[in-house]
Amino acid sequence: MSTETHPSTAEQDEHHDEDENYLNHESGLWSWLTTKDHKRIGILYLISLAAVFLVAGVLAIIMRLELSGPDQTIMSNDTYNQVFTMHGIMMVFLFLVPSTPAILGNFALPMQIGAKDVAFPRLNDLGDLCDGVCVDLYGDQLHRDHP
Amino acid sequence: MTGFASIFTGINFIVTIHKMRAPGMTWNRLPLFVWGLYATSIVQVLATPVIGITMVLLILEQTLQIGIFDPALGGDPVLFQHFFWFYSHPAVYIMILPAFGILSELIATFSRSRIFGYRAIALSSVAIAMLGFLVWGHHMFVSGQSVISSIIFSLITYLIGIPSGIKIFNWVATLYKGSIWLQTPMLYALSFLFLFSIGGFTGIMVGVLSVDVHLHDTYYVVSHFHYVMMGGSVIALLGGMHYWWPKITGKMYNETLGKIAAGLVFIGFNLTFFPQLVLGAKGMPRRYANYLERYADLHQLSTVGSWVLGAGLFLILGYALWSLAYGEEAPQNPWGAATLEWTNVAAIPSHHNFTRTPLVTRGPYDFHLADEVFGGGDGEIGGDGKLDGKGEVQVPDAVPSAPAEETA
Amino acid sequence: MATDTDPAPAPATTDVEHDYHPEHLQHHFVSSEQQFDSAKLGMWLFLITEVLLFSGMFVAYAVYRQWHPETFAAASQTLDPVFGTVNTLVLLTSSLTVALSIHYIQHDEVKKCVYNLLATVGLAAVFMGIKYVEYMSKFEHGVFPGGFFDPHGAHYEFLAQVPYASQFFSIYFVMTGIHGLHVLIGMGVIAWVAYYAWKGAFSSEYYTHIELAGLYWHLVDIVWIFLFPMLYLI
Repeated sequence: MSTETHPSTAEQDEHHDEDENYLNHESGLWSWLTTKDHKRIGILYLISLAAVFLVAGVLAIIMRLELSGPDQTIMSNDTYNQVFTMHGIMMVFLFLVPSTPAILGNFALPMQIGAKDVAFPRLNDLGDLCDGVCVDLYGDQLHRDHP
Repeated sequence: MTGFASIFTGINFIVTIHKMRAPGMTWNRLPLFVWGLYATSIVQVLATPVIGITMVLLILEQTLQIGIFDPALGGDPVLFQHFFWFYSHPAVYIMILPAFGILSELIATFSRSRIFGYRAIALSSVAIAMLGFLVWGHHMFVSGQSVISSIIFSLITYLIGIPSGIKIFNWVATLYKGSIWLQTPMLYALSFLFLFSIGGFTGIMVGVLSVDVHLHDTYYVVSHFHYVMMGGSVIALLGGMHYWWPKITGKMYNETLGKIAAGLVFIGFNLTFFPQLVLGAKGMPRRYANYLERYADLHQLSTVGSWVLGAGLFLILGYALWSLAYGEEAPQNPWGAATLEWTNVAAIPSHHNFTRTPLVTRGPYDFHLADEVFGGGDGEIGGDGKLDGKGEVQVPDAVPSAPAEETA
Repeated sequence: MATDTDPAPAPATTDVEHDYHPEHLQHHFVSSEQQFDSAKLGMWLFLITEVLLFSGMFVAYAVYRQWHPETFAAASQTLDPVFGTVNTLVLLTSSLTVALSIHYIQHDEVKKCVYNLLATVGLAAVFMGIKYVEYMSKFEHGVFPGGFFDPHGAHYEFLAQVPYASQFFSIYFVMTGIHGLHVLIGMGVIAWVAYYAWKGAFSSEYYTHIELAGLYWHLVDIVWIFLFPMLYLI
């Protein structure tokens, strides 16, 4: 793993270089996706969950638009049905259930108890990737159901 | 798949909390956010496998037509309901327990007082997690279960109200005589107290059987769970994001815009969902795209509210991105918090968080102890937003943490 | 499963805590004990999730047995308890060998440890072989799970008259199937651990992976010990 290649130099830098931090410790998309740093994983979760929240939130706004008049139709009844089902599923299972533990928990918990990282960093990254794949799968499923 | 992520996160947190604490970080010194996550993790680890096997059985049922749940194949749909709710009710606590944790952090930090009833808050989280497993039956009053089991489920459901109530009262007691500092995260915390209480009270009303018959599947229910989920979890998450934003990014967000956005979210949220409470009480059913003329006014009000809410949320997104690019550099501990991630970690954390492993010698909310030792005054925040003399708290010079006789 | 295999290089700092840093110790742990304890606790938690996974199926079993006790009694007659007993003995022996492998690695006897691990894999293969013979003898006579249930042949014909017999076999195939999947995974994990042990990755100072694989294997064993009487005997 790339994060593991030069820990010795990194640690020494910490003592000498004040500007060294977890954000510029390593760069490149690959180093972020394969990171085992709990703080970076928290940020990855933040980005993907914010995207889910945005999509599901826009769906809610669209629903409220449809409901702004008794017979307002910017969509058919069937579409409305699908939209609120999607809003519910995305908000609850793809956003709310993982939200706080995955974003803030990952970021803050190890620091709050004085640990360098969570116990199983690699498992943590695996969980993040699982979550990403899950969102993809759900999108894919939707696409197949309602092309 | 989220199931795997959920289980992994749960296992990871439990082991981390059990085994990775810094020396001196006793269970009684764990920040309450950690306690909240600990309770959440227990729920995740214990509940998620059940929904996992349920999904596997469902898939097998569809492919191999084994008769487990489908009555057409000789299966029992009630069994599916039991399995489903055995996960899905605790899932509600997965959503709300971390929010409780964030709230405890925010309220203690921004009222600069030691949290009232630390142990009660910590243990009530665990109590909620445990009791949460015993109440799945209250979703199934109409599924033909025996009266006795309905009564027992109902009773335990009311029991859960007790630890939740303990928390609310403890937070209010913490606010009392604290020196409250109304920064954006605190605004969200206070919003939470208000909105979550509405969510809770409307929940009690739905819980009364006779009222439930009238309100079942109306907008009242929609509004109720939005007050709990959005007014609870999401508002707490927003508060937490603002609170930890300087630590995550190393940049400050714009405080004025933050307060405006918090106001917009609060007003927009109530404007959206309070009319829905009234609509539901008047009998507007949920899940319909069209409705009678007499509901129009309240629906329009709700729609306008959703714009205000949306505007607030987009404003947050806007100034968050702005702060990434142009934000002021954050000091190490902008809020004067007493937990380790603020006192012992650099403004932007280093790769390994701590330069030296801290030796913890006080509780997470001992602001006064921290002040006494390091001369930070009486909890007043300096005018420039920096806390002179309050940065480094209780960091031992040497690192006596690891045992010298490192064995392998 | 939960920890790294490739040893993290030791950070070369002058801090006291880093004076002595064994190769296998990951950077975020303070000591080997902490790392070992964490891995073990994580494994126990994982085993709890596994138990809950199987408990769902046991609940389904209990419910349907309660509903159709005669069917379950009649249908379980067709399962051969000899196969079941032999398989139980095979799995119990494999638990012994995996326990022995841990014992030997604690005494730095790498070769004996590897042999015992390989014996475990071999016994697991025997178990799967017997299961294969069992499954095939049922499939030949049309005893399939669920909707494809169509029993024929001398030994199974009467099942067509027994109501809900297909349900028993649904549950039988699901439970033993998922258990078999766990056995296969266990074989893979133990073989992999044996390979690393052969290459000298483990010693009495560091044998976390063998310990964890052993714990997992005991769980697989215990689940079978419950499955055997419930499906074959009663």
